[in-house]
Amino acid sequence: MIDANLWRQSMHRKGLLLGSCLCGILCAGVILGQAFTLAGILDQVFLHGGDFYAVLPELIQLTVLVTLRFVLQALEENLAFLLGQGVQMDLRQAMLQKIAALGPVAMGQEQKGQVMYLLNEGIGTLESYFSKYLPQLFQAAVIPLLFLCFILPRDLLSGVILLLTAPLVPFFMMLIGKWTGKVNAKQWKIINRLSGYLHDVMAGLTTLKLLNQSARQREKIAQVGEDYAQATLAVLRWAFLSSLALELFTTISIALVSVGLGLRLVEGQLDFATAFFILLAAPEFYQPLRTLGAHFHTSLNTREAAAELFAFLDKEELITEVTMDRAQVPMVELRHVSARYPGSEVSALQDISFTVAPGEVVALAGRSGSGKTTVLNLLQGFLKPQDGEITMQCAPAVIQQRPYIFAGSILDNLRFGSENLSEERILEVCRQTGLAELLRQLPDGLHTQVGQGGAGLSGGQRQMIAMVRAICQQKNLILLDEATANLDLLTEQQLNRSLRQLLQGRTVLLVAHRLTTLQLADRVIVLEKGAVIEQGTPKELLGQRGAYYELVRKGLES
Amino acid sequence: MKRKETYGFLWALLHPFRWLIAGAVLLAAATVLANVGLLSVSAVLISFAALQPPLLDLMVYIVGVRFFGISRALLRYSERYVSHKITFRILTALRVQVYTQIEPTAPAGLQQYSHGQLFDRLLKDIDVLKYFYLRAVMAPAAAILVLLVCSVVLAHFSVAAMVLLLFLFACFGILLPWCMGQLTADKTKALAEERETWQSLLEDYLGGLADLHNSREKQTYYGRMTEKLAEMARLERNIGVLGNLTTSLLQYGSNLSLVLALLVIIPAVTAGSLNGVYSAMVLLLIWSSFEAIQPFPQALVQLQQSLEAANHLLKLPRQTEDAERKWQTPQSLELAVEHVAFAYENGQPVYTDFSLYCPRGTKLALVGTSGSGKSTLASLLVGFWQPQRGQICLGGIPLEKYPKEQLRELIAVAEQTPFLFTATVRENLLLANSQSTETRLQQALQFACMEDVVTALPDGMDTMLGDNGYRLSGGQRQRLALARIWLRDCPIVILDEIFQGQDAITAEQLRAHLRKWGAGRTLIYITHSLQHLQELDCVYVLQHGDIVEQGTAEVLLQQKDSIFYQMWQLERQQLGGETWQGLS
Repeated sequence: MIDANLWRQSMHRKGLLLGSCLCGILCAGVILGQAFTLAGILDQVFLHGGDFYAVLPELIQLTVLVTLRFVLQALEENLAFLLGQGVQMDLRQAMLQKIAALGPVAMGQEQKGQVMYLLNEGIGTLESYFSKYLPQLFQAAVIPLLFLCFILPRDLLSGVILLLTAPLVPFFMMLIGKWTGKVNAKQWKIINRLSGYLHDVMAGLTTLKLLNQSARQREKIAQVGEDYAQATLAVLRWAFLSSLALELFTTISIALVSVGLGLRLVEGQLDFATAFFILLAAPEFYQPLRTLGAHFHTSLNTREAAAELFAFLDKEELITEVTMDRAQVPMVELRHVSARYPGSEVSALQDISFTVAPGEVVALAGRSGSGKTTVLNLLQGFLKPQDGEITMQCAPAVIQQRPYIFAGSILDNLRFGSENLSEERILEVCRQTGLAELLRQLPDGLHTQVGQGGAGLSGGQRQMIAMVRAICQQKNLILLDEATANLDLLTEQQLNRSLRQLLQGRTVLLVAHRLTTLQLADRVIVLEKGAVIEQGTPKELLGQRGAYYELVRKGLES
Repeated sequence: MKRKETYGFLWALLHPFRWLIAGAVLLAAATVLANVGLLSVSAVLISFAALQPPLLDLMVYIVGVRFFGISRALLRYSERYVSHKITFRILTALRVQVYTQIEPTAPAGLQQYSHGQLFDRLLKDIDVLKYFYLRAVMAPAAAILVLLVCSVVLAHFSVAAMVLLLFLFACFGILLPWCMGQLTADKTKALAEERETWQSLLEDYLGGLADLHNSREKQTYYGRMTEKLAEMARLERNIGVLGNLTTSLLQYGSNLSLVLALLVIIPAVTAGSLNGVYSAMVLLLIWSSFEAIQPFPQALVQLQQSLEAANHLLKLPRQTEDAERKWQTPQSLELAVEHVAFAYENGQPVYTDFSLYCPRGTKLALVGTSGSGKSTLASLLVGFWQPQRGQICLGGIPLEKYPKEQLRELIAVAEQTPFLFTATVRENLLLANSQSTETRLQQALQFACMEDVVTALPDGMDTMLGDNGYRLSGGQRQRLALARIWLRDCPIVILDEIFQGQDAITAEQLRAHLRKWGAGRTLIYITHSLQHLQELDCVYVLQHGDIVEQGTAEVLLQQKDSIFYQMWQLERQQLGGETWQGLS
């Protein structure tokens, strides 16, 4: 009935929940009073010939009660609404923080469309659990009893009918809840599939077109949409069926009560005022239970979203704080480090050790998949080493293989991580790296607005921006992941020339496929299948005619 | 005017389903009326019974109570089921329609959209529209029917009561929602805008996680996002509280109607114009008919959201209809680019006068610095963009005459940054050619030097690749895309920087495979590396969108004053000429 995780969330905002329930219960009291007064008025007018002035006090009383009811109801609903909103906010924040703690490596295994759906819509569906279902649960437990206290002493038979039929409502709810669990899970899975699929189609539309598959996605969209409709309808059918059952129960009970009232009125066993009061009170007696039944279904829908959300919040966090030791002599030190990606059987790195001295430029070379990027992932703290120790003297500035450019101006992107830098200084770095050259092609230079992910920029421009961004951060240690891969020769030449100068006095660890980049290095570490197989200056290694020699030879052969 | 257009758009979608919707509206009205009937007849029954008539006189009312009681439940069930079913049919049709509309315009027409925004259009905006049909259309229509029936019945007993009912419906069914609409319209709009920015912040957050982490900006960015969340929550709260207030006011209205009805009924009973037996019935009839307008406040909020969503959808680009193109039968497959001029929207011109001739089976390379217009040619050849001047012919027939589908059957492009789907390796390959046999798939992997990589994956061909092929390195991703190109088996293939990110040994293998496979095909390499071009038929050197030199690499290298030679020298030096010299 109550999800433990969600309950814990609501406990952060107890006051709102309590307030809402209290208002709801007070409101029920007012409803009783209203029915009582109304029945009294009609009795006077209809049977005792009372005129307007005779019932004026009761009319005023009724107006007051009705107004009171309005105030209580508005309070109840808004408090519950605020509860739902607050919890939503808490959960979204928790999820955003979790995403940061998982880090890029772990998040790479998630489908972005699904994560976004969970964060926006998924948590959105939970709102109704807090604003509707939870408060209603308490009200449904109290209000019918309150009504019974007033009905039973006045008319035993009606009271008994109500008392006997009421428990059927929660009973049915439970039963149906059991049946629909599977249907709900299936629907959630299909929604996830639909959102993931649509996100992929939109992100890969150009590729799809080039493969001549984009038009064919029409049928697939129709198909996935149809599945989604079917699954949702299947869930809704249960919701409707359960409300049909509830409605049948309650209306038949009300009919039963009212016919019974009529019969006993005929026989004079009951007076009109009491009968009419009970007729008015009977629907109100069932109302909290019926509402609960309706919200119960929403709560079933949220079950899957909640399960997925809390599973996400429980995921293993990969982000690790790499040990920083200002006192240590080597800039970077790896001691017997092994690493494996979650969900993978094979180790990406096996027992590797090396150091990078201050001011040294070290290159990691090796074929793709040899573990070069894994080393960088470890140093950035995106992955936990399974074994061994990593220490660094300070945090690095990093130039990614696929740097991300944020929506905003180019200047905003360059200032990332170094807000206080003056525009002049940034421009100077741009000139030194050759970015200034590229900026000239753009309409507003540094102030050109770029779209998300650097839409409108070429691969080379993106790389250059990332490069300048890292240099501006003025860190002593720089990690470069295949940084010049997207640049053309002239730009690269210019960059390499200035890179030597810009990297002067800084420690650099770079990953390279291209020999041009390898040339920058004082020392090369060659990796194969996650292990260090050669180490030395480029010259020494060439002389050895080993793996490095082979890489270089193939690269140069024309 | 704009409003009108939006409504027009929504109505047009509704049109094919109008009879089904009319049926759903009838059911909805009948559901409310059944409840009205139940309570009214119960009231009459009790009132009559209080006069203690013979039991038989009550029978008709007892039957009535039972009838309305049961039909109410059944009607509600069928109304809900039917209306939801119709709505989902509309939504599925709409989703396909929107996709069909935007698909031909990609990528040129969709540049201003991030794919996250497009995703939102296709998923959320369309989902929101379901309320347009379920609530905004059906609820008012049903309410009008209920009002009609109730008024006619009331007029029988008391004209004053009928007037009261009309007055109440006008106040609470029209005036109240209208006022609320005035108060929330701006906020709904602002909220929609905030959502857009939130969405783009979120996408940046997810996409740039690594960069945010490294530049120690994660906290700042997180702060910006929570601020945005708080801002959205504030607007939602305003709208929500107003909505709740309206709902409560409506309830208040229905209860207040009891008092007002009494004010009409009491004098009527006293004056004898209304039989006292019916007084309770008139009271409950007015009270219970409020159920018809109960969904209005929510419907209004949802109407506003629907209009925003519809506006989003309306703004999406649509293809200016190009007439049915017939499947062409070109005699040969030579490519001729003739005096083409082209510029991207709001961009500097890429080509001013570009010509290129390329008979079937030639292997050629376009080289030049970035921004010299190499990749643009590929986009023009597959018809993503149209040249502003000049024309491109394939086998003597202008490209515009070809259906786009045929064009892409003939010309394949290996993209610089290909997209991989969140699916298995196999599914990603089958995308290129759904008919491929297992052997063909293996051959394709072999061709792309991906066999070992795929075998090493936990489930081989059936391994899920993660978001955009996250499991693979940049070079591997490109190679998987190459395997797709192999499966496509097109006579003309454009290879955009495919050796980038490949290590030297793999690149060498790929070259050998391409040499063999490329026999008889036209291969166009787009590259900024000048190595390994000797075996090609022709190399074009591009500068600022013009071909400045052309010829075989050998000939170009012999002209010591050629740009190509200078670039080649430069590259040679960069590629470690010194080390190499040191070695020999």
